[in-house]
Amino acid sequence: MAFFENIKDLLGQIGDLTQFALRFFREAFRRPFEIREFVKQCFNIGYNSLFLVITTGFIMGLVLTLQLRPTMLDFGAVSYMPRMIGIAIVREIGPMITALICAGKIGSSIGAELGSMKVTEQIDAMEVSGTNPFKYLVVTRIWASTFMLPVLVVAADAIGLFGSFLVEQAKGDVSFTLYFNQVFQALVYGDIIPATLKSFFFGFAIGLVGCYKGYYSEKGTEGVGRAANMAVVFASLLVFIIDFLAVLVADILFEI
Amino acid sequence: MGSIRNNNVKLGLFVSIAFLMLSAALYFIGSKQNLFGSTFVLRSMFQNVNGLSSGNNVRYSGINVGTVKDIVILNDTTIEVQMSIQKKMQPFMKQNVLARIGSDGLVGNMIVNISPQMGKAPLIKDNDVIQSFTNLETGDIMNDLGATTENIALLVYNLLEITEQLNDGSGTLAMLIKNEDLAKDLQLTAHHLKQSSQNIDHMSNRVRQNIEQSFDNTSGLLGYLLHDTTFKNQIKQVTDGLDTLIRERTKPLLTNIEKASSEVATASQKANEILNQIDLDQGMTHTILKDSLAQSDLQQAIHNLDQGLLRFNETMEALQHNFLVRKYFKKQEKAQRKKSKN
Repeated sequence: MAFFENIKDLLGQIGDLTQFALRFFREAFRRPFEIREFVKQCFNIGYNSLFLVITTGFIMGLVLTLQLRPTMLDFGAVSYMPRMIGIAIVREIGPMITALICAGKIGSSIGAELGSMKVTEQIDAMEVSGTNPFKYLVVTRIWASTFMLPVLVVAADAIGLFGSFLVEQAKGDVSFTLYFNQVFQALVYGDIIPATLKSFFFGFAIGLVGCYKGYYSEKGTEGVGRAANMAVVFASLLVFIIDFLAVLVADILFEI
Repeated sequence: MGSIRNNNVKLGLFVSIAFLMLSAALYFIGSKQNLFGSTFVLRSMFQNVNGLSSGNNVRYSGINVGTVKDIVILNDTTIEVQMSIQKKMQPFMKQNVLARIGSDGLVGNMIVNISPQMGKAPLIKDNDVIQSFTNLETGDIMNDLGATTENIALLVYNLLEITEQLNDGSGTLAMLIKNEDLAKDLQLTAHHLKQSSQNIDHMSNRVRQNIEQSFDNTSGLLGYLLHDTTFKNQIKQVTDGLDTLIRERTKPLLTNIEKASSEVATASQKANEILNQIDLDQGMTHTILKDSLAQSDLQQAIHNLDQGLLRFNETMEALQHNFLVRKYFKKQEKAQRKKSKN
């Protein structure tokens, strides 16, 4: 019975999440816009995650190249390394790593922040004081994460490629110009456009799940922790599902 | 307030840098596909495009100058490939350039290679149709290869027959290869040839020396003949004298010769008759029979010959059973039998 209860609970949560998303779209394009709060959230979400994203991206590029290089060397295809790494990072690794890191950092921080606000009844107080808490807290955060994630992805791609270039130069004596010429020789719009579009969706999903979990967190300090935790888990899961869908759609649209 | 402003500046910087990177990436990818910058269109007709698709690179003398814009099938033997080429390459391309579809490396993408040709031609214009060259297909190569292998198989079969014959020991070549005595003889012959050629060389050298010596030596006969001028005059006198002498004396001589020759003719006729008679008498046997001494000698010789032949026969018999030549005799026997049957 517990199994069916769980399923029912999950379906209920998905329904709630959809309601929450629809409410976001209803409120998102209606005045007044909380521009100042949006910029502040952009700083929090985008700029403050930059260091983390750049570090992981750099290490990812470095490690990917180090791991793939011996195999490619066996095949005598080591000159294909820049193209391969370029496509791998731009198409998949850059967006995915960034999204997962952000799901951890942004999802949990939004969940915890809104959860504690809910617990300490600040949200209720806002409503009483005449400010629309959904607009002020939720819409700005979701917009901020939606717009910041692609920017972070670009930064992660660039730094990841740079890390890969460092390995290639150290081990294969590949010059900067040659490396990036080869990377851009391999890349087409069919690689970069779907990857960028899908990172918007990643950002949206992370912000949405974080806000939803925080906004509807249960009472008590335990509820805050749960909200933060569930936000990370759900956001990561959703990122993978969106990635799968995005690849399917991109395959149809760009015929690769 | 200050810190918020500061934060906004940091955010602005971060976002602008990211946008610059993205636009740079988009530009580099776009410039590769000739989306920016002016281009012109070239067309070429192919029978088979070997999997070329739009977006593939076009190279002029190995430089990437454009991409395949579109591939249109006109009819079942003509496929038009439209290529967009960078405008800056136009002054370097003449109308007689040749387009050829190839692949970039062994497993790489298909590309169109445009190569310049010798000779004069006007510069290329927008929308020009250029000559094309369709490469041999793998199937054609395989067909050619099939015929070649058939020929090789026949050749090998023939070689096999020849080598079998060599192994059997029949034929001149086999004898040359297998017979050691022959090889020794040949070696000896070669040695003798060498010696005799050396001798000839030596001899000719000496002859040359002798002749040279006698040429140079005025006191010798040859030297006298060559170097003395009075001798020439004397010879002239002598020949003149001889001339008149012959003229006067040969006349009766010639008539005598004429007479004599007719007599000789009759004599030879008689001689002929005699010879014929001797022939009829079986020549030698007659004289031998008359000579008793010669008769006994001859008898002895015939006896010796008989003995020799008997031994030779034995040897041949033994040889017939030798494994090296046995096959040959068997073969002959078989042939003989066949002949007698027929």
